[in-house]
Amino acid sequence: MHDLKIPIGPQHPAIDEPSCLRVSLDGNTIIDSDLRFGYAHKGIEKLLEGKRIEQGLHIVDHICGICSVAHPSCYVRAVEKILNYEPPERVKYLRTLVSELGRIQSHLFWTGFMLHEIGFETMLAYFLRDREHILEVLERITGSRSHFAYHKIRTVRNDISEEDEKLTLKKIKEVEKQIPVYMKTIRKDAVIKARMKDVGTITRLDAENYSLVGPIARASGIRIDIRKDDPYEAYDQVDFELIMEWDGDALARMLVRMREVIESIKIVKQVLKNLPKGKVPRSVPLILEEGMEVGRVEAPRGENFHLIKIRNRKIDRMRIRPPTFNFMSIFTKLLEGRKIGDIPVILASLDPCYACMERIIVIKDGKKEVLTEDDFRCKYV
Amino acid sequence: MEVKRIKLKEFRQKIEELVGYRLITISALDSRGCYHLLYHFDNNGIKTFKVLIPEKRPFIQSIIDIFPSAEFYEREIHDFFDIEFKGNPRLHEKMFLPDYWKDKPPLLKNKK
Repeated sequence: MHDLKIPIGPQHPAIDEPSCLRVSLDGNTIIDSDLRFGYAHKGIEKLLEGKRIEQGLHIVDHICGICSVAHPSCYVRAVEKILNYEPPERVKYLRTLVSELGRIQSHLFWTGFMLHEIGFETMLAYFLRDREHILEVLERITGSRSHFAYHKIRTVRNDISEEDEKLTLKKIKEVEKQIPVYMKTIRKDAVIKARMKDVGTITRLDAENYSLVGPIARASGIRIDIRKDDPYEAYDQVDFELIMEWDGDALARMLVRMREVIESIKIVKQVLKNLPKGKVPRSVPLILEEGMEVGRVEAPRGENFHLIKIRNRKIDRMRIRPPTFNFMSIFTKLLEGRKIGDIPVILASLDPCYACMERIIVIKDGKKEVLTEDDFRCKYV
Repeated sequence: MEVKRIKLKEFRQKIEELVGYRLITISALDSRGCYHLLYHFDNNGIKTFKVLIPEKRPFIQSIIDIFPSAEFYEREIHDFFDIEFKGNPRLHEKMFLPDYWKDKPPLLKNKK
């Protein structure tokens, strides 16, 4: 049985994103598995080579539609480290506001889809309804519903008005009202418990060995949050709790994310209350001869890491390590010994985001020829 | 960014001393005449260790027995830079590139 491998994906109704999972089975039990990616490649790391810094920011904005705050935030942090520049307080607060709104919408979206995976479609509809409130606020603040492109080097794209603040508070309160209802359902519902309790358990030791980050590590009892460990934006000036659970299973991960939504709402309220007065500086062209720096931020899924090397005023190399790539290494280990029916639940409980993870492309034209780098440069650079 | 250089001969020994650190990622850079491998660790701040690898027959010891999460980073670097990691059992199963890929690794630079 061991040499027979069953492919699941890249297109499969039970798996939301394109990846090919090859599993070896003994009856209905998984013995071994391997993952293949590359079905959502965009070639971002190659595309960034030779670009100006502002052009780079524009590309980084478009890595992913869900973590579209985390990537520009991380890029801007790395570049500002090279510049040795500290942005004004108001800019820091505005960045924090958008980062937290981005986190709320991502967590709500994910929790909805997690419940959809176990057949709880009604809850998905409720979560999408609540996420809509947040998207409305983000659209008002940034002008976009998906790729916000709010972070600029040294500044943010636009200031917010008093009306925006009022709208944000109103919408946030509507979401806040619903969270206890959802928490009660998640904790009490028998189906959720049966499908998620003790499924995909990551022990604390494994989480440490596999260097896990974000809500997954926190659900296994590890104190890790870049907002606390290495504060950026205005996170050192707001008060919030680091959420932790101890069970390490799919249910614990869901609880961590839901409780984080409450903390994010707390941060948004504090930011709006203490928003410093002042002007947002205008975005001006940037000249930077050379330098190499790393930046990291807490994306909704965990630590997001960028390395940027600048040479002759252009990006020489850019390395992006999104959180999903970090925890994919433990996914195959979690499947060993489980039943086939658990695959969608375990995968969804990790909250993978393949658009972030797959950044490098094999570019082909219709005739199945691979574009050389020169052709690639002529066409895209 | 603080970067500490490690010699290739002492690489394995130095990495073994870092047990307890959290591996953030491994980045590869294609430079003139050699590859730079940057091992980023977290231990109250980012600590980066740099190893230089010659361009001809590039190979280095794998660290997956100490840091299991390195498996995918090493496989990714093997796909895009063709650097050999001795001791990574699934290194030659392509992860991002298609199986029929025969061209030079895509992230290498054109050198004249």
